[in-house]
Amino acid sequence: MIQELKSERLNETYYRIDHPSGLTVLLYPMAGFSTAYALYGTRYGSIDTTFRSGDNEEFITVPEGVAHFLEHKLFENEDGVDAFELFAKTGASANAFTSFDRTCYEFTCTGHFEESLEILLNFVQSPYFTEKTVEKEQGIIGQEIRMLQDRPGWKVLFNLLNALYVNHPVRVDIGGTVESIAEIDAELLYRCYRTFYNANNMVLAIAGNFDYKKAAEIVDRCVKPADSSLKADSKMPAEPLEVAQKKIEDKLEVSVPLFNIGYKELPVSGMNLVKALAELEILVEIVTGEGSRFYREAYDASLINSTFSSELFTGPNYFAVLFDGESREPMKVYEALNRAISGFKKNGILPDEFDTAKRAVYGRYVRGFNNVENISYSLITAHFQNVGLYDMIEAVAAVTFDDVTKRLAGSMEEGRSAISIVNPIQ
Amino acid sequence: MTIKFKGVQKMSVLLKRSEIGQGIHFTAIRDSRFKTNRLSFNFILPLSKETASAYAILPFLFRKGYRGCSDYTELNQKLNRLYGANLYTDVLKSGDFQVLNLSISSIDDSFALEKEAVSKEAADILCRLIRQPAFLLDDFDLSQFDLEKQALVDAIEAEINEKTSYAVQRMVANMCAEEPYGIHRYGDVESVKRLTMQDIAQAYGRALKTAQIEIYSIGCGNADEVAQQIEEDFSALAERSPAASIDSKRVYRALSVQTVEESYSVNQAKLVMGFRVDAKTPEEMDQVRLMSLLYGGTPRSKLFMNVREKLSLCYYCSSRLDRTKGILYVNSGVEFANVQKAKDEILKQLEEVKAGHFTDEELQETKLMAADSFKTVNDSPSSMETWYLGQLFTHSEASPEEEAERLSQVTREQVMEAAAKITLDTVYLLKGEGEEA
Repeated sequence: MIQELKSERLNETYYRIDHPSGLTVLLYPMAGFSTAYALYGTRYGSIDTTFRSGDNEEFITVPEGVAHFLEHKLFENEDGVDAFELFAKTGASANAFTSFDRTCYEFTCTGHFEESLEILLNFVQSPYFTEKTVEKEQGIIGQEIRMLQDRPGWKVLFNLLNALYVNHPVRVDIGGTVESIAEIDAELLYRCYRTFYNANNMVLAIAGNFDYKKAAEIVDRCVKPADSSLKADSKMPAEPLEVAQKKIEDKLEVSVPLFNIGYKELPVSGMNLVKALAELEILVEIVTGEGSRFYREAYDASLINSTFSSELFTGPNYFAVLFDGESREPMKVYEALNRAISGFKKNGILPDEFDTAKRAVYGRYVRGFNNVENISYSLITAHFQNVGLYDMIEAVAAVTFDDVTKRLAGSMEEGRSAISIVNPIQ
Repeated sequence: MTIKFKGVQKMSVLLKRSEIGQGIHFTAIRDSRFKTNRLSFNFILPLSKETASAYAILPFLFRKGYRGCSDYTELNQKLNRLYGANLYTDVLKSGDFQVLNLSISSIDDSFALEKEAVSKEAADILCRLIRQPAFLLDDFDLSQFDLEKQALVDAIEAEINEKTSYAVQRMVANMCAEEPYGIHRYGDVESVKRLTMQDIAQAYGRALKTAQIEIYSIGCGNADEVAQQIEEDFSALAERSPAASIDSKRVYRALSVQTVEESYSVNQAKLVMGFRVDAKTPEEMDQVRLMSLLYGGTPRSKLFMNVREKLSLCYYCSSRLDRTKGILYVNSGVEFANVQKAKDEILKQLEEVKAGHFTDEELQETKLMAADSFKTVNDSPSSMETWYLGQLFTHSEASPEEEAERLSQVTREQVMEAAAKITLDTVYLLKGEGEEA
């Protein structure tokens, strides 16, 4: 059954198939574009370290970094031909990534789409690991981890997540550590694979230049039905709203200190999450955007520079508002930010400030529909949030002044915030 | 696995580049696929130690406003009301030239909540920022100038934060110490600190008078009005004396290998090797371009398959060709103890290409991957601009598809010859403190 989803606002259409195999298929053909971008993803990321495969099983805890390790290893096949070799014959550019709550395999192409889609579906469904290939990858991923350790932007974020979260595995580095990945073996990879790479835990999203009916045929032919005896069940530890620590500092080879500031929010899901995201994005724009008093004062006092930015950070059981930038005096930025937020909480928002910020945020979402990759990625994000692609932009359009005022009262609390700083070595 | 190889690429859209003033070109691409309209100015100026910093600060000062809206917070609020019209400013380096870029991208009027005239107003703001900048007004707040000087100093110094790109930049600075190309796109810290408002006024005047100005309007809306407005605005600049050429100085062969090592507090060493490219014609450069892809430009390349996959020495090891300047880089991050091993393997793989130790299949696949990735260019307004601007520096107007067609003509023998045309000039190593060979 193909379901057609339309947006009057954007004059756009996409298709959803709840495939008999258990797989969710989201197809977004875009007339006139040259590129097709396909993402094949599983709801399995670095936070899924404690899980079971069925209601009657015991939970097991696996080493940190397994999801990412598995991502690397899936490119190898039993016949010794790796996926890159196959994609080379179609000309597609392939890749994959692992984040906190998902692992995705992707390709971009401007021709031979159908062959590439078959390759993508087949290689992700054909795991092949041996002790020897696992060992080889430990060297490569070891270097990837070392590279990230030298990246202050990465370090300052994970330190913040350690300060914000007491128990939630979002505090753990996505790639794990050189030590944790040394514990990984082929058997463990198979176990994780069977649990999480089941069609009913996965999604295929394609946007751009392709024929959606042909894509659906290929899915019919290539996707194996889910093993219904297995059910991926991750256990997330209870997480208080309080932070683990208020401040965390580190030293790295940087010129001026880097900072990340986070405000922990109550995790929500589905349409409640979409509404919260829309309201918070507008709020953050009002309080800290480039047109705000905070931005003006902090910039003019040389506390922040143009690297200052914000992000809404969310996934299963975690939700936070993050700010990052460079500053010679990060603590003063933190104080100024808290002052700005409490000032708005006390004095309220002006209707004009709301209107201006809402337009800016709305424009951002319209612009997102220019881009093939962004649409494909947003399809997956929306699916993992259990909503549809257009729900986000509709939520932004629907936000009222009262919604934002109400949201402000219960969010970005100083008492639930933390700061992470990476200082220069000298 | 995060390997992205970005090549570039033909279009089914109408491209029209016309001279609207002396050394001022306007290119309009109308494309109903997009939901936005983008207007972008590029000021192309020769890189020199004396002027680099004064030019580099201009794009940041332009953001401060214009006559009639000389407060940057007011400007930012105005942009927000235009549905977050995205004002973007940057400084790039292309060969021996500095490119000052200012662009604005806004949603098309048809998507505005009340169908307001968003795009025209956004374009108007950009033109005013350039023609009547706030920093030239008598009452301009000089503390804003000091802030931007400090911000530029910080931006130069903060490049160490990203070790991978920093190592490439240090390699280039050493390799091309005697060429304009070796100059940082922002100039240097000392020059920035010395800048005065007088320098800025002069640099601004010189940029408007002498730069090659390339203007792009890309989007779904009608560009005629924008074009007309720009023509009116810039006809005042009738007396221009733009530099005649945007060709870079070329060094075809390295006479000896220079080795540079620098120590920082890092976990992983960064190895960057710079090669001179002896390609004199566009055809020869195409051959080197394909050779570079086969050697280290894709996840099927010699470097990826051997240095990473076979020897497990690194997470990334790739080659990249700068066609404008004729330099090829190999870039890798490795354990310090393995640096020599990696270097040997990188050079050995180049010999393999030279000796023709690659299959016809590898060659075909490389061509196919290049063509495929070229064609993705047409799907984004900014990548189209990057493509055609880049083409200017190599005196080409070829579309991504035409370029792909040219690469597909390259033969096995030509790839082997291309590999023989590159000579190692500089080996740069960023290593941990206390690490000695």
